[in-house]
Amino acid sequence: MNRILSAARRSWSALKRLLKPPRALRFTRLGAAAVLLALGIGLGAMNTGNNLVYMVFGMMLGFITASGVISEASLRGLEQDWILPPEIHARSAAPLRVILRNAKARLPSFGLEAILTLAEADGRRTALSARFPFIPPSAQRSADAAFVPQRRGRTALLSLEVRTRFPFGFFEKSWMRDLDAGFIVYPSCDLPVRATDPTPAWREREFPVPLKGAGDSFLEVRHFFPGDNPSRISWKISARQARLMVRETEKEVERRVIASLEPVAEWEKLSAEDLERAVSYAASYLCEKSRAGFAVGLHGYGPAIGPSTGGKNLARILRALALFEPSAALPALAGKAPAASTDLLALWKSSQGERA
Amino acid sequence: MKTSPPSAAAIYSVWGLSAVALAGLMLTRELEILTLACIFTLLPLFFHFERNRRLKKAPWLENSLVTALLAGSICRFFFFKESFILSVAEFLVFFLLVKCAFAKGRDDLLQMIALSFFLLLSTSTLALDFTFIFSFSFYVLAAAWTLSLFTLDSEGGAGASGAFFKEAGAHLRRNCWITLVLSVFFAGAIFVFFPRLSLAVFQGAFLGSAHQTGFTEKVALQKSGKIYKDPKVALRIEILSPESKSEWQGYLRGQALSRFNGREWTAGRRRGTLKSKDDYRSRILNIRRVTKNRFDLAGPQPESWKRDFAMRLEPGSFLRQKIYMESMDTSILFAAPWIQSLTAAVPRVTVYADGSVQRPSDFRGRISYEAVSLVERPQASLLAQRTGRRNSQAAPLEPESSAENLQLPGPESKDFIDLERIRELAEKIVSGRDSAYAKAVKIERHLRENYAYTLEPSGSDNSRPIEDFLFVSKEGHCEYYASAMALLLRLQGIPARVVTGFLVGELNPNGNYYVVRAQDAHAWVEAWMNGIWAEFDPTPRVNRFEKEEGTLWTAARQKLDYLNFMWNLHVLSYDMDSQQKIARNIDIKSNRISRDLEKRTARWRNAWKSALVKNKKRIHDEEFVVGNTWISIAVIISGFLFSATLIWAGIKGYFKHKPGRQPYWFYKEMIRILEKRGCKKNAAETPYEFARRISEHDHKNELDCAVQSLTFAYCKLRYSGRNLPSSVWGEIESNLIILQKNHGKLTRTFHL
Repeated sequence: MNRILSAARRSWSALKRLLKPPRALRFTRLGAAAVLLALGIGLGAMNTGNNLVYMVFGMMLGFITASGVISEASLRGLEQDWILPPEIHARSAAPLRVILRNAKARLPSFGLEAILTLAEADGRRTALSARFPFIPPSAQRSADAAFVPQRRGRTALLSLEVRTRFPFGFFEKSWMRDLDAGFIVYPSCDLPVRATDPTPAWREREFPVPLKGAGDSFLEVRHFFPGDNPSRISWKISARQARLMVRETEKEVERRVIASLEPVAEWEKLSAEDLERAVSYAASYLCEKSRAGFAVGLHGYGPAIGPSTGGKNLARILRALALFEPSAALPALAGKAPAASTDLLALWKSSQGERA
Repeated sequence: MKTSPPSAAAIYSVWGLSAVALAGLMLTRELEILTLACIFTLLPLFFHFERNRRLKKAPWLENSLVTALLAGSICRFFFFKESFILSVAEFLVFFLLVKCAFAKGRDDLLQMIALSFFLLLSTSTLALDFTFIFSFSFYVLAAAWTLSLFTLDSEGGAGASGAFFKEAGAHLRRNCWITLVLSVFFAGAIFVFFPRLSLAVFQGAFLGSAHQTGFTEKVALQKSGKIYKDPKVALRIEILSPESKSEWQGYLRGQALSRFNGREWTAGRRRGTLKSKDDYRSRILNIRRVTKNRFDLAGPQPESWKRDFAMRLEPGSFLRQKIYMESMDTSILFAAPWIQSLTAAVPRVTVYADGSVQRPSDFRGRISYEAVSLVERPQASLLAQRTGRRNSQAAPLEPESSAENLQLPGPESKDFIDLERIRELAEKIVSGRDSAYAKAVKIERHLRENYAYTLEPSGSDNSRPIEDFLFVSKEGHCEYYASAMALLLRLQGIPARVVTGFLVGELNPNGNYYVVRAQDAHAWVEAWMNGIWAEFDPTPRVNRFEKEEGTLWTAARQKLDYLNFMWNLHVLSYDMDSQQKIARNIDIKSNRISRDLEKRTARWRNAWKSALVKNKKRIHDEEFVVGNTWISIAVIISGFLFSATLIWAGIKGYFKHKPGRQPYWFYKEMIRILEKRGCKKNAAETPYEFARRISEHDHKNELDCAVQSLTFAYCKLRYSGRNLPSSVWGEIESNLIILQKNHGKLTRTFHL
């Protein structure tokens, strides 16, 4: 039954698309005045029988026709494209670059306005406008439209409408194309993060003490004791000292932060506003750490993201945070959170407490 | 919402549009000298201030000035009775000047564009010559340019930069030309085909200006004014019956003036007969449909003239003339004297006892009409015989008319005329035994030979003009001559009257028509010759064209006037009759073409039938032949469809491969060829990644080079925003050929 309904719905929308005129036309105030004036002049010409007034009437009809022809020439043969910035964060301006390509070989396009309609994560619709005064034949032009997303999450690109009032501003002609695309808005990362961390274990890791172990960095040279790995004997120094000496290397410990979203039930208790603030704080915190050279990872809410200093890893974390909805959250796939993980919620709560 | 200020380009183009509209209005030569002076001084001054950005915004002052101008124009129309259109046009001019005097925002520019349009509309109602077509064309170009810039400026403020003009200027100019072509096409089509319903809702209210001419409905003896020297064209006359042209003396009669008070001639109390034709009138609206009507003005006289004056009254005796009369300050219709019939687009005319014809007062303005006049005149000997003493009562004038045309200034006018002195002069000129005709001829000759013609009489005594002319200065213009002769005749007991009209003298050889100017206004005398009113012209003839004839200036002026005449004939006078004429012509020609076509097809059909019958002896019956005809038609149609399909396929193929049609067609072609050979481009793969993938497996191969080259060209075309040079297109073609020639599946080498 559902299949039949969806097929019928699809057919209906296809029929609507088929019946929809290819161009939408709307009178501007100037255009309405011009058309009314043309009618008045036509009546005046009929009344007075003045042949030159007939010519003026014809001129006005010529202008109206030329308006239709030239605006059609402007709108025809256009291909659209867009470029999104690599990261879009909530409540930060992001330039969406709209590209219009004029595929006509000889005719240019004038006075175009591209309206990009987006549906944000909270269902709000936003229309972004970019103007293209002139696109030469067989060329492309781009224009930026400033987009300030209000909320993290999936944002859909619904449609692109290209309209023009060129040449005389009598009519506004447009076409619209549905876009099946979208992008993810990351949580805001510009919240201030405290310099210290409440977790002692983390504090220790912030200032690491050199430890002996496997690594490339040199630590010290000492006497050989039985039980030492003979491969560590430095033969050059042993020859110089005339006794067996062992070369010790520094154990390389990565500075890392594994943040945890567990337990999700605690997040669920937050109000919508607090949830957004907490997620934003978490994102800001992890961005800050990543910038400081820490390997950042995330645990909880789907597959765990292991600690890494790479940009791609941070992007994965931000994406996970962008889509994090405690009510719809899946249990962590990687089992229990690591013992030394940072509880993001606790971190946010403590920051709120300090601010208060 | 606060709008950004308009760009300099938009402001200057609106200035240009305004200047074009004003120039068009000035070309009509209807604006007053004060208005012209304001345009020529204030407009450049304001433009200078505009360029130096010294204009300020003062809405209260602007509004006050416009209100004052509006009040002034209303006063001009209602209190000074000036032309409505002229009042509106001058109001618009000053309104535009006020707009030019202040700093402009976007709304002000829009108002200026609207004002310039209304100026063009005023021009269309005032223009009488072909210069309108220049005003019209320039206006369309300027308006298209200005509106385009204004719209672009409103959309994104791009109209301002020089770089924009460098890049888009040529395309904008092309758009302006497209607009001009479309406007001219529509204007022409509407002009020719739009039905002329000849409805007149507000007939008379929207009149253009009425020209003052030398012709007046009363004659006051005084020094001539500037009108007598005005070369403005008042009428143009086309003679439609050239065989009777030689009989015509060139007079165009207006009206007769019978009442004289010693200084002034007036028509007196006139008795008119209204000749009306049925015209359609709507009861709901005051709409009237006006068509051409023929008015028969001839009375029973021509038959009596034939009998009494031995006139032939053959077709050659009648002059058919078509008269194109400009808008004039009179309702009188002019034609050669002794008018017999008149055809004009008016519902009624009034015919007065003095022979003058008047159109309705609400049908003033420009008019063209046809008139037929009797130009044959009785022989002088017959006139002399008929007006001799024996026949003095042969055909007496009606008593009332006789009294009117024998009237002399009364005793109240003794201060400015001494009739006895003039009577003595008359008796000196004529003899008591002379016939009336002989007396008239003698007086005419006396005045013509003893008095000098001048437009500026030197006599200083304006209080006694006739005596001053006859006895002191002995010089004057036609009105003095005509007045003097009429008075001398009346003093001799011969009914006489002064007639005003025009004397035609200028023939334009380009169009073979006569031009009558304001300065050709004339006055002469009609005297009663026992049955007819005979014309006498005591004014010596002065040919003012003698000096000008043959000069370059005259030739140029005649050419220009011919253009104006053609404009008048084919454009301004284009009406429902012209439309019907065109429709009839089209109908006749299309019928002729269809007949020819029918004949030709019948011939082909017969030839086909006979060929079938001849070649196939077994075919005898008509049915079989008809069946074969249908089959052959079907074959022809299928052949036509097949060839059309082939042509269409060819065109499609041509456009498909035409470089400019689809800029990236070659890359798509490359992908298609490679895909056919097993190498499919992944959706996520960039063009360079794809090319690199092919290169890894087919390094330094011919195919690899072709793919690399095509990929590079594609990226350059797509991402640089510029078209490729023609040499690269040639290379692309050859690379595609290489790709097509490389046979074999690529999957053998590529693991995708």
